Amino acid sequence: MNILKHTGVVAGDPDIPNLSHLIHTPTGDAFIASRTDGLFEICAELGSHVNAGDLIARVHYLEDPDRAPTLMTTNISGLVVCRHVPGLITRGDCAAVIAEDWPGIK
Amino acid sequence: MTELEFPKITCDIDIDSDGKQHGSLTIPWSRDQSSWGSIPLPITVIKNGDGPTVLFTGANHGDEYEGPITLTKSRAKLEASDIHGRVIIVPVLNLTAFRAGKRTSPIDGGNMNRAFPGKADGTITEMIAHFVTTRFIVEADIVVDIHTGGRSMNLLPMSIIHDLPNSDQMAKTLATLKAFGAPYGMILTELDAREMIDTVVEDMERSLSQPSLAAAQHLVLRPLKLPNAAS
Repeated sequence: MNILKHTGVVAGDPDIPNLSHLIHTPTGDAFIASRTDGLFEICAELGSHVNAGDLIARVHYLEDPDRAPTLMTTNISGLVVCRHVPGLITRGDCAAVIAEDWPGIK
Repeated sequence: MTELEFPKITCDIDIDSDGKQHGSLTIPWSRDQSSWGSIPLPITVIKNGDGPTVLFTGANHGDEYEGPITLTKSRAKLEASDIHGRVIIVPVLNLTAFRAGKRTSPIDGGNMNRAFPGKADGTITEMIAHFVTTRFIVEADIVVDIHTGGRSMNLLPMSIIHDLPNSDQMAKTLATLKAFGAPYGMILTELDAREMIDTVVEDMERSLSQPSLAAAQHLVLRPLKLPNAAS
């Protein structure tokens, strides 16, 4: 309905209680891809703020009890805006996306 | 429009007529179970005189159910007397994928949002993308393509646009993003934005807002209470 008001298709002003918090994904570092197959444990929940170097997820190896889990960390600081859902993850799957505050139009 | 442009898909309503019309696109699908069968893809057109055209689409990916729910409710609620201009609603773009609960079509493997602008004589997924591009997007002033996380992702509730090189187009698109009023507004640099509906719309110098409402197959249509939410 807000979009219809914005275009003038419906009369009135859009009802926006809070302005959208603007974020972006300027580099490939925003997309954290798994480099291994295994059991996926998210360590930084959706909506949380993370700092560069923080642990984002672990991948465990069910059939290999002696193998330590693989740790996924973030190269950038920001907001966790997306997370992988299924219990299993495959090499190349997107584990999480970290977004930074948007600086404005260049 | 020439006959060659649309050899297969037909639309059973006149999108230029005033009033509220529910109809279908008919996509021929001859198969073992139904020799002269087809896929009727529901659309709704609501029009009242001259004015802007807004196109709403859902289930561009078939495992994203929240868009179809919103648009099914919207098509019931919105009347021609409420508007000036035209609203075109396609609750489910990739219907065969939607019926199967899959992101991609079980018929042709098509990922609708990697099939734009489509092909008139292509696969079923490509034909639908082509029809939507050449009949609806060209007529639209704003396109809102509703996505969610589907079966593999959870997302924050946000409206997504691309970082556009043309500053006028960026300003207009950003204004649309803000008007949507989602808790978060994402200026997304994609891993690969080719063949997306957004890119086709941007290429037509239109304004596109791709709201991403939240959650993998969980219905979250209202903004969630979130840490770090914008004030």
